[in-house]
Amino acid sequence: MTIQKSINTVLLLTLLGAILIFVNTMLVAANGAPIVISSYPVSSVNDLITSEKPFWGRISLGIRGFVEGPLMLFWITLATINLFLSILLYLKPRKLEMQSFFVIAFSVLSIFTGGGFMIGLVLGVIGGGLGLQSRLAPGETFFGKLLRAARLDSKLYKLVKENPGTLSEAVLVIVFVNILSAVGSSLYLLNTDKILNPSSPQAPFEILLLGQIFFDISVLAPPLINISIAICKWLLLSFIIYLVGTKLASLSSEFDGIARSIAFAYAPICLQVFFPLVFSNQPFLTSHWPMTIYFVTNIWMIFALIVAVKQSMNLPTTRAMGVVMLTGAIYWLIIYKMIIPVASISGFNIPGIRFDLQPTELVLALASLSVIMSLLLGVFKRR
Amino acid sequence: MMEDPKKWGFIFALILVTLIFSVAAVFTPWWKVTTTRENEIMRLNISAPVIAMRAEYGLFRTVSATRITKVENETLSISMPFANLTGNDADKNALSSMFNNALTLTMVGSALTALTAVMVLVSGLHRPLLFKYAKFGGIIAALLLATASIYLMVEMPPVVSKLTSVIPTDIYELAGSNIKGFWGGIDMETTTGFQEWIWEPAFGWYLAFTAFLLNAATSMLIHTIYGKTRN
Repeated sequence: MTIQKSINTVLLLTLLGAILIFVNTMLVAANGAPIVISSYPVSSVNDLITSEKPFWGRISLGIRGFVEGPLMLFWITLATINLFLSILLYLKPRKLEMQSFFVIAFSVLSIFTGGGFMIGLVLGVIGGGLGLQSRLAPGETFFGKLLRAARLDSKLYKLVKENPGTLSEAVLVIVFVNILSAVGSSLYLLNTDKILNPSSPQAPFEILLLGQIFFDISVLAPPLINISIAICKWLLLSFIIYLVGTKLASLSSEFDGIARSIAFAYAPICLQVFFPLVFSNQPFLTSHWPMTIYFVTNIWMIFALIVAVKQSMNLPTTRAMGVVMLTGAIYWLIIYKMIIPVASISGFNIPGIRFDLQPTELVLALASLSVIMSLLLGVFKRR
Repeated sequence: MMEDPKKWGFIFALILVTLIFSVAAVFTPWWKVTTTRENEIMRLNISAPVIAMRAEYGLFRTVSATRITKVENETLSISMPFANLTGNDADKNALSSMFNNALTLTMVGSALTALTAVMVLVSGLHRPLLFKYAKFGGIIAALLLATASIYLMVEMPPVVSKLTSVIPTDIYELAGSNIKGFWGGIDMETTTGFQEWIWEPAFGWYLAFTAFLLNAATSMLIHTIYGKTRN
């Protein structure tokens, strides 16, 4: 009964998503172009790139070049079919898998018309994803687990740690999160580059004021290249946590259990797909906005890591915080001060947006502070 | 006997939205000729007095046109029947009759949508057997609305292209011969600077098209949910 109730809630959310996508599509049709909402009107792009103006940001509902002309009929048809399928899914949930697959596909495609104010897209993908695994309770499906991980649900991390069968899901989380994050950051970087180093004088104007998002095939490379890097980074982080926990703090835990829990802690990084949602004026374009989203998602991930470490090693929260601090410092030094510089010297530039702290003395001071904090939080206390 | 309120309630809500769309389609413009948004922003930065111009064609055979200028009190808005456009009388009559046909189709489509809504309501509250008729009502309404929008899309460009100007000449003179399709655009170099025009269906046309899709979706829903048990 409870499972049925939560399935109904999920289906209702899917329906809400479809309604939002439909409304958004109709608004774009009424406008005849993407709806560009900016913090204040500007008439010249030069003001945004060169002069020191207060923060100006714009969100575009719809992508220019995809919503004009007869193509709009296609989007309206798609939004209506999506609405129809979502109602059908809610009223008569049979052939759930097939309908859910189409709901996901149509919701993703709705990004060209604004993705139902983006909320509709997210609800459609989550609801469709839960529908695809309709034989399971919503919280046990892939998307359900991702949501629970992001909500810092401690039961999930414990369940994942204790169930070796979730390893494939853990790897899938890393791949999925990495693809979303890499697509978001590479699209943002490509368009930011077109604004700051325009190949045509029209490009900054089209991106900032008309809601265009440039896309080329190179955008697809980082999500694929980064899969192997993401897996390496996940294994490295898990291994450091395992070493600190079992060898330094004398805790008993299996590496694979820790690795599985840690993988789910990456869930909040999915939000980096929203990088290209907002374009702003300088200096916000190249620092503040990407920094903000990067910072928020990573802090969120740190909280998830604390819960994951706490559950996978049966630690009190304070000690789990200490372990995360210490391992975070070691991980940071290895990745940002050793691997990335060495890779750059050998001509291998790892793509994506990075949070690079400077100068090195500051990084070392923070790392030392982490060691002291972890000591105070009782990481090295023997049981 | 009252039907499952969740099921028929959703169908009723959907047909109500469809009805709103089809009725709104009657009163909103179906086709427009307008300067582009890019052009509008660019003209803000040059000395040209006119920022934007647009003309919208409605089902009641009227054109509403606007010219927005930098000086606010020089902004001009006019509305006139097709008969007052510049062009040959036969062409203007052809245009009027085409819009009249589209209006008739849309109004009958809307009336059938309203009837379908009533049948869904009655079926949900009292007589489930009416669902069968509601389904057919929805299908016919969908076909009428689809015909209205496709008819205008196919028939309009050759007729409009014969007009001397597709915009009231008090606003601007844009030769009808430029119009090559239902969707299109043209770049022009004028004495007051570069002008970029586009023509495309306006919101009313999209509403009629969407009402067709929603009517079809409602009929399919009725068929899927009540088809086997009721018919």
